[in-house]
Amino acid sequence: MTAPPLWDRGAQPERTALAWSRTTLALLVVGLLCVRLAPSDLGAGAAAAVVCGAAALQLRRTGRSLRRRGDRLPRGRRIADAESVLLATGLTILLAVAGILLAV
Amino acid sequence: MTATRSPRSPGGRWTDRLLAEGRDPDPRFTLANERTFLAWIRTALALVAGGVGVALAGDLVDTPLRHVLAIGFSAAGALLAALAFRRWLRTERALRRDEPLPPPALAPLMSYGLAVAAVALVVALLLTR
Repeated sequence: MTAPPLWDRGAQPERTALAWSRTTLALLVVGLLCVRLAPSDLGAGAAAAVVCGAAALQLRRTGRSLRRRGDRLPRGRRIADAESVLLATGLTILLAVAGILLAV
Repeated sequence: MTATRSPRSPGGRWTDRLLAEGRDPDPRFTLANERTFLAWIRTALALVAGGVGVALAGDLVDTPLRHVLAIGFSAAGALLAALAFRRWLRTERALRRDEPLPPPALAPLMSYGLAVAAVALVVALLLTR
């Protein structure tokens, strides 16, 4: 696959994708901390599966979004991605709820 | 899933539904808004990490206070994530309508909240000693 033509010199799509990767890493770290809190082995396994699945999903979305944006930006088409934003919000709230439940 | 896999936007149906009004702004503003949202989400995740960390710090803080602090940090993280989404949406809509951006109410709230939380944590640590 060839790289899309450079759309802007500020490399904004790339920086945005990197911000997504950093956020996914933070999600992984916090998720694994939650796994550490799980009361049973089964719970820990399930939590680890959920955390890793969510991180994988977000990483895949990041890569796809970067490619699509490289394709759409030169044509001046819409690039807003409310679904990824909603997903990130939901995952963070889910982790927070898990943290609250496990703290008690 | 359905036959109508809309090629309109990478965000799918939700994007079309949430951002129906106005015109597409300069894409750089959309990307900057998304990165700002992500920075807030990371902050929220750090708060949750703080909550889980306090919950795991068994010997450092005594039980009732430890629970209160752990729940407080995690709840603050959830609240911050929700507010970050709200802010992203309001900013994106303001950009689309070419209106003034929403005021940065989140940052001062965060500073005061963190200051209070830090003081509470220090008091908790001192009380345990």
